[in-house]
Amino acid sequence: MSQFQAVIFDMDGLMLDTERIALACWDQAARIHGYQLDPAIGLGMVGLNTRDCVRWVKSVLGEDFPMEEINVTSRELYHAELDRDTPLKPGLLPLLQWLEQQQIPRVVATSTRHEWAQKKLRKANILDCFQGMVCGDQVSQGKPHPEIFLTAASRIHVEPAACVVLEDSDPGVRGAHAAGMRVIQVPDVKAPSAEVLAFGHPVYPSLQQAHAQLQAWQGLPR
Amino acid sequence: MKQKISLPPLMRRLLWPLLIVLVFAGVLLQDRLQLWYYNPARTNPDKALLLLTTEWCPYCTILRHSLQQSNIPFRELDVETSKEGRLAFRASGARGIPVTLIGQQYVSGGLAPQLKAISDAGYPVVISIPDEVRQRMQPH
Repeated sequence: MSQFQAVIFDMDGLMLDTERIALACWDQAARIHGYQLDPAIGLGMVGLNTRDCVRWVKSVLGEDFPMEEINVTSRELYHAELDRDTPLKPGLLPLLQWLEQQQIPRVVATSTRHEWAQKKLRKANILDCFQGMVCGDQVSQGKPHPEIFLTAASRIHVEPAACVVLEDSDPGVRGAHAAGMRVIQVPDVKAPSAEVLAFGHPVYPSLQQAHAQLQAWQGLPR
Repeated sequence: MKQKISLPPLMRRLLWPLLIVLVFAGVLLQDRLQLWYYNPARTNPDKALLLLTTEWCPYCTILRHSLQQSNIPFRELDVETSKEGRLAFRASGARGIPVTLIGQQYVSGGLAPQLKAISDAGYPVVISIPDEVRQRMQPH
């Protein structure tokens, strides 16, 4: 495998241990509005931007399902929770330090809105570790469309084939694959589907193993 | 010897229209009586759940699946394949399926209000989507 020139990071569930918090808040918000939901419905939204989540849930539960109201409540609960703590995934800081030492550019490609992505990364003290950020509200089509990854690569003037994407969710992996990029998946709350595993990309349980894979691709000992 | 009954001319003129009106009134009355008789709201026990559904409707599938997964007892009538279901649907006054009858109260007009009403009636229903529906509709 040839060396890579840039790494594109997903944010929630990959760098920040926030998917669990988001799912718990969504569940709580739905209960506040009088609905109890199977956890599988929340998991079905992992990796999608807000617009696609709304579209999906309404396509299944009907146009009159109060998705917007639940989202507003959920967002309030989520932000209150993140104000208390924005937990990082184990192995993230050593990986970012190593990429910095190797002078390999880093970009964030997240489905989250720009304002909130910036707030979260600043709160987690890692905003300055990145040379760019492309967010869900800055692209016309969310993951699994490749637009967000192609935009991220163009921001740092690196060819898609020379980028490695680190992702936790299936839509992200599909998008990275469609963009012609190498991808390492570190699943978070949801295991990869059989269709996604068929891509044959490396899948690791933690960022430490992903870090070792990146070192191997750069020709460094693991 | 038979004696011919002769009606007054006015009566003779009104006889056929009157008969037609009576036949229509009879049909209408029979229909109303049938709707009254088959209206499940008349006999449904308090708080008991009855769903009016069809086999093919996706919202019916989700409603049925959610109640089954939540171990909530309910009865179901198919509005296409059973006379009871067809007349119950007419009696409900609803314009679409599914329809949920909770005790004597019909709830219709979308899946969300029905799930909410079931929950408000004290049934802890957990909204659950069958795997085949989720796989078909999941965007990834």
